[in-house]
Amino acid sequence: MAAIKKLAPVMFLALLMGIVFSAFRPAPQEKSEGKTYYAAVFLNRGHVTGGTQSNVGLFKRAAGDTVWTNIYRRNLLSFGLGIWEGKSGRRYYIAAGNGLHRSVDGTKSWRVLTDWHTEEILSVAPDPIDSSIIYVSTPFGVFKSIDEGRHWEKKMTGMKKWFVKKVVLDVNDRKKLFAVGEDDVFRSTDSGDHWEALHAGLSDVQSFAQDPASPNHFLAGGEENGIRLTLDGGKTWQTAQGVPKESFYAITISPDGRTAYAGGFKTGLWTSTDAGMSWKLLWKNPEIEAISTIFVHKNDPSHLMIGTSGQGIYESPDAGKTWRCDGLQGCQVRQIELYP
Amino acid sequence: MNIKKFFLIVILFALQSANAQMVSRETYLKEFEKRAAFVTSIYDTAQSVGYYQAAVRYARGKDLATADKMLIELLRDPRGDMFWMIPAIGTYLHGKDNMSPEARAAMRNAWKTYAPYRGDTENHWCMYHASLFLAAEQWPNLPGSEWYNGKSSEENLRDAKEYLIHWMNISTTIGQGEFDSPDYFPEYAMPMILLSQYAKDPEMRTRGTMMTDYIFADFAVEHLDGQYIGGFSRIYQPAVYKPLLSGASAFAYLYFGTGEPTNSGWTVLPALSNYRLPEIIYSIALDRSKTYIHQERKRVRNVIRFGTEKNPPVYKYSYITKDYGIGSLQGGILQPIQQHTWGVRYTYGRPYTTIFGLHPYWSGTEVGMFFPEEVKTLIADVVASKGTYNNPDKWTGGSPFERTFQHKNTLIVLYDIAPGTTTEHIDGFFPRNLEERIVEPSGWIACKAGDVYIGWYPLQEYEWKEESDVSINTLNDIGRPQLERVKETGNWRLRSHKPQNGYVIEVRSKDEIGSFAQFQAALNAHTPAATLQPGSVSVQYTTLGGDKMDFAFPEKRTLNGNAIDLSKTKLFEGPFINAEVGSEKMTMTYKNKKLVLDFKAVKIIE
Repeated sequence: MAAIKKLAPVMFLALLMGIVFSAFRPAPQEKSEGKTYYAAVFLNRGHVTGGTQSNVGLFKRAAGDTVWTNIYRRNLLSFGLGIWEGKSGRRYYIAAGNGLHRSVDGTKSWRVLTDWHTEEILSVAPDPIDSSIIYVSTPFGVFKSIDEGRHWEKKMTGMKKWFVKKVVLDVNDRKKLFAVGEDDVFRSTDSGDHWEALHAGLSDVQSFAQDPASPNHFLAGGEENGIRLTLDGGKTWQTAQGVPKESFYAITISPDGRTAYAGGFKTGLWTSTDAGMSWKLLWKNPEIEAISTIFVHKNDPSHLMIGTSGQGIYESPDAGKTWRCDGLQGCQVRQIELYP
Repeated sequence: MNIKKFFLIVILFALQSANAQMVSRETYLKEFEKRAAFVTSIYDTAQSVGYYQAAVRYARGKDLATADKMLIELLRDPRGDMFWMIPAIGTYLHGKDNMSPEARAAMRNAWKTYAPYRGDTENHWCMYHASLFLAAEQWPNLPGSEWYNGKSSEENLRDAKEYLIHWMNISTTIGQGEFDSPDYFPEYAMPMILLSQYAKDPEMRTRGTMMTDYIFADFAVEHLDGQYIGGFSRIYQPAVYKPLLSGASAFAYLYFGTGEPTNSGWTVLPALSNYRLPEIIYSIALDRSKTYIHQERKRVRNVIRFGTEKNPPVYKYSYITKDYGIGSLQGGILQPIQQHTWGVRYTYGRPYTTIFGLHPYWSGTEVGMFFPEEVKTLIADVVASKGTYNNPDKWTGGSPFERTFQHKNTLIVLYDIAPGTTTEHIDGFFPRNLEERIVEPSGWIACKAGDVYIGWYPLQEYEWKEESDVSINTLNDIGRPQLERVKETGNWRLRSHKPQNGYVIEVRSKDEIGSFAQFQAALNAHTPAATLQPGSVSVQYTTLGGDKMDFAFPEKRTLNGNAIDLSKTKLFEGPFINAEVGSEKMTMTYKNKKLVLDFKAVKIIE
């Protein structure tokens, strides 16, 4: 027993190293490279519901182009995006203030899938295989549809508070989901039927990322809580070092698992190359009030984009060494994606 | 009793009865038609392009070519979400029989190609779904490809009807969330009036009429001289200190004949409609021959986080006389941004017919309770459309550090403001047109507004600040008042910087207490005793009427030794309107008249 006690720190270190190294293993090649950037814009300067100065909704920019163009509803307060791709075609989703919108014809026409029961749709997570299964998060919980949005069922068993900012699917297992909200990070292993709190040690959780290369490695940020991380699937959490205890609204891990990025309210953009254990400030622009979302190119991890809370999109081609304003100035950009 | 005295009593009784007696129904309807004609009078000749200009022309069958031209032009590029939906469908319903085929086609096409946003507040949802319901009835059996949201006519009809019935159910069981808003009254009245006239579904037509009656009754019982009385969920500056600027006052003019004549756009569609207010409602609105207490229960707007209850209760208390009304909410954050926790309003001295106080609080947590964005960025988002929100000099808003205790025409307000709060002062509004504003040696501030006397006893030291610039009424692009800074000196701000704080308010009329000197003397004989320490703020006070009020922040209220349990407050309770929580039934009573709105049975029972 004494020998085991002596070996315990070594075993723990070995385990940790194994996790960290596995986090750095190369990511599988993408099936296809996206050609168009899409951005969900939630607010713009001068916007008021019912007003005439709205410039929100869904925007797109062709890769290589420089201009973002509104392609769907200048008055649609949009929180997030989703895509499903399969034999039956491609489905685009917008999580918006007035419901979940879906296009099955390449964004030409859209249908609102939800009804009056749901208020804002804060995020969308389509099942990667079965197009009939869709999850959304809302201020009043997670909802699931198993008939492609015709009916919705609230899925909150195990959650105490109802505000769920984001729901995401596990990178490897489509029956596993994560939800972040007012009081914790939650995980479901049965397609949303039950949720367990992961006790991340954060209140009002704002951001979450699962390492694509190491699925038990999660990062989470909270309102005025800094960043917390786990390397063992949520069994134990630790506080990230070097990063201030500020509000982090966006956290992303590069597809190859090598680099993590985080940003929030007046924080600037932070980066970590050791699985989120220690961080350094990568870039700070005093004109940017808050970073709402961070995009890392799947096939070129040095290509970064950030969406801000009112200063549009900034882009860096060289892993954050240099930046340029990419447009949508005055807009609050909530999600950026590169879709085929 | 000698014959002379007998006749004097008879004459006095007759005079009082005459005062209390409402005009006949026939006279009311004739006067209503005159007011409706006045409201619409400028619209059928106005050359500026607008939906109301077109609607009035269509409804009057006048200058139809211009109406068609206007409508087609407007529908080329619709904007305004639900603020477009209501005038658009209203214009169509009032005018379709006189519209050219091109104009009708343009309207149909707009509901296919322009996608209005649903919004995020109760008034948005009410307007959105009522309009969508009416539109889906007008264009039935169309596939989703013919509608802006991709849903078929039947799907839209079903969705809108379900929401409207849900809203009516919740409003008539635990109260409206965006309750008693002088500025948002029109956003409920307009869609319900349209439903009452134009819904083809008989149930929804009846429900529209019932809900119109309901919200008008809710207003009528807290109405005085064109003004809404009491605590409110939402009000803008400058209407908070110039009460007749609120949209509800335009409706008071049209339906009660009070306030000031106005051609407000809010009342154009109602003026064209065939809805007529039941006699009992305008009788309740106008008869102030007897002083009364009226209590209500409402609900907090949907709390999405930082709370334990989705719709906590709001408790209202109002005391209304023929000269003034004083009303309050219990305090705390009951609505984001624009709450008006308490106020005195009176008939003297337009436009500044009010005295009120507040803790001008703001925080990310407050707005985060109700809006889903990140707390830190929310304040900037809110300020973009509600410019006063984070202004320490603002005149609207609730506070978690504020509580009230009202008994009749006496009100105690207490504050226990935590260190580090965004503002650590409290303010009181005293209008410039008061005849007197005297600081008595006892500490009372005695104010005279015609025959209404208001006493304000500050519990802590304070300073007076003359308002050097205040706002005038301009409208933003959705027709809401917004601040425009101009030099308009004269109103007074009482400001106290002590975080443990409060005041006692006494209001009396000449009829109640006699001369102003007598009021002053009464005040000076009644001074409160207070404890003002962090975490221990309380006051003991004997009112001018002799009642003993003990109030300890936040929730310990005792009247003459008996604890007050606000949770027993009914949905409506008073001499005119009564409803039990959960009942879905409102009973209006006026003299020998009775009107019951039974939402369970969907019946109006007279």
